[in-house]
Amino acid sequence: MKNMDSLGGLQHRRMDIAGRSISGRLFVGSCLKGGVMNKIRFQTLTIACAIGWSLSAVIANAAPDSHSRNLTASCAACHGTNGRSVRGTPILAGMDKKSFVVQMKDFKSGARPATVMHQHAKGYSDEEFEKMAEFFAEQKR
Amino acid sequence: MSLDRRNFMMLTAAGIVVAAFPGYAIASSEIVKKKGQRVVVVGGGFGGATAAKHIRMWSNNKIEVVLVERNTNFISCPMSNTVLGGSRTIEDLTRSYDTLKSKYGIELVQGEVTAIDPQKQTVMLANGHLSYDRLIVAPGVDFMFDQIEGLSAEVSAESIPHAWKAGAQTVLLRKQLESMPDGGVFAISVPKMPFRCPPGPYERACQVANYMQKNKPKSKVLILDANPDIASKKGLFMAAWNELYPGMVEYRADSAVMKVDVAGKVKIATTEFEDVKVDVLNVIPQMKAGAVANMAGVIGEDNRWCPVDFLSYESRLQKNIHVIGDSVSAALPKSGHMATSQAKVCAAAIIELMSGNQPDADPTMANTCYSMVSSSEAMHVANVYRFDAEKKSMVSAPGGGVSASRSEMEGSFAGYWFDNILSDVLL
Repeated sequence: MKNMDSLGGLQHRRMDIAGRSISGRLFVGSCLKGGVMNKIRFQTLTIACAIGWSLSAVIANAAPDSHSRNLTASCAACHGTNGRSVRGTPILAGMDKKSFVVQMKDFKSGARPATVMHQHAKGYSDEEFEKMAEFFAEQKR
Repeated sequence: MSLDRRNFMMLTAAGIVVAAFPGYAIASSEIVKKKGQRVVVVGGGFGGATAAKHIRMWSNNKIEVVLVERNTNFISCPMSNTVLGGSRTIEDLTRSYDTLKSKYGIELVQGEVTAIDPQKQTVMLANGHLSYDRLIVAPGVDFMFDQIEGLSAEVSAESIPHAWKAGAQTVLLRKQLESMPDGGVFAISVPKMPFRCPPGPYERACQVANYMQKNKPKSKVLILDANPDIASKKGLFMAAWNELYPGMVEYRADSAVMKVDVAGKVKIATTEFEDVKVDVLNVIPQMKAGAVANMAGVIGEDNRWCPVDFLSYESRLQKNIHVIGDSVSAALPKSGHMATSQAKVCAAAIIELMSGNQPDADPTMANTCYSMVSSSEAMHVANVYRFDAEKKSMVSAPGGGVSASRSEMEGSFAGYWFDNILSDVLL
């Protein structure tokens, strides 16, 4: 039961991290920590980690999670469904991840002046910028 | 307890209705045959149409969606004040629902809902019924005409329009302005908060003044506000009135209209303090959740708005019935953008719930409302709202605010907003 709980905890942590390869390494690190436990629990943990590892590999090839999609959903009023603006505003679909995050951070800090984007940017965390960036990067232009 | 004759008769009548209803549900035909898991959406405004589209899109068309709407076309309420100013026509605001069917496979049913049975999970229309697994109620607002003596739905439709739903009344109000003599007075009565589109009445004052300035420069705009102060973008609106339309716009706070009258060509609005005689009278009554919300039994203790779970927009009063948009009881602005954002949280949650999962635990949404203060200049209010798990409600995130000043640049952005949001709702 405890092992299952810890697996659940690990999975949860993975969901919170934007970079997927980093989340994979987190699993390995946690497995090594498990090595100080008794042999049976270590084996169980190893299997659990293996499942977790393959799961994360599967997810790495899938679309971004639904929370990232939901976070970006209300951007559509100005930037179009899935960031495919139909007129005037920047097209966010297919935008480079880094570029999106840098621009949002600059709006947030005030480094980049804006009419409205600084007000929106201040409402989100840097982690949320990463998630949004990931979603938009995967959308077809 | 004894029943007097009248109460007994009423109870009997109610009994007949209750007894007859299930029979009717069985006898009536299903308008669109239900094949799999189905969501019925009642109301094809910003919220309802968005929910319908996004359930189809995000479920990879796995969930059936039926959209029930009484009007043949979608007419946008945002931007409808510019029809009064003259920079847009009602046709510019009118869109077809066709793409929702052709591109997303949404079943469109045009008609008026007559009853909802939350137990049997059916929606009744004149020509049959629709059964659902989950129902989304998106009826927008209804007007509380009876709060003002002399006002009714008929008076509103014929002589003292609210024009607070875009369409026939918007066109009527524009015609009244066109036939008003130069030197005439237009009065707008603003209801107590909360109401649909908080900056809307003040934007309307700008648009009417803009029309007058071009066509009837001796005329005046009088704002009779039931609120103690301008309810939205105060500094920006005052600047617009003073700088763009000097001497034309007069604002009176704490001036709830209690009674209206028509005497020939003159209309009279009575407040606590005075009888105001004007040429064109635009009374926006207080609002409540649309009638369909009442049929669904989702209106709360205040008898006006619908309490919901903000993770799914499921009613706190009825299982499997969700409410979105202006009808929701929330500390959120009643705007078109907000309705689409609520619709998406609701759509995502319904997809999760129908697959046996929990809804997103951290719904976050943005709102941007532009106000057109002339034919080319606009200003906005913008805010991000987040779910507060402790308060179980949506709260304002830091950083929101209004424009530094009105500008033509924001006038263009307002146009981009309009094209993009309509495309997001309908295309």
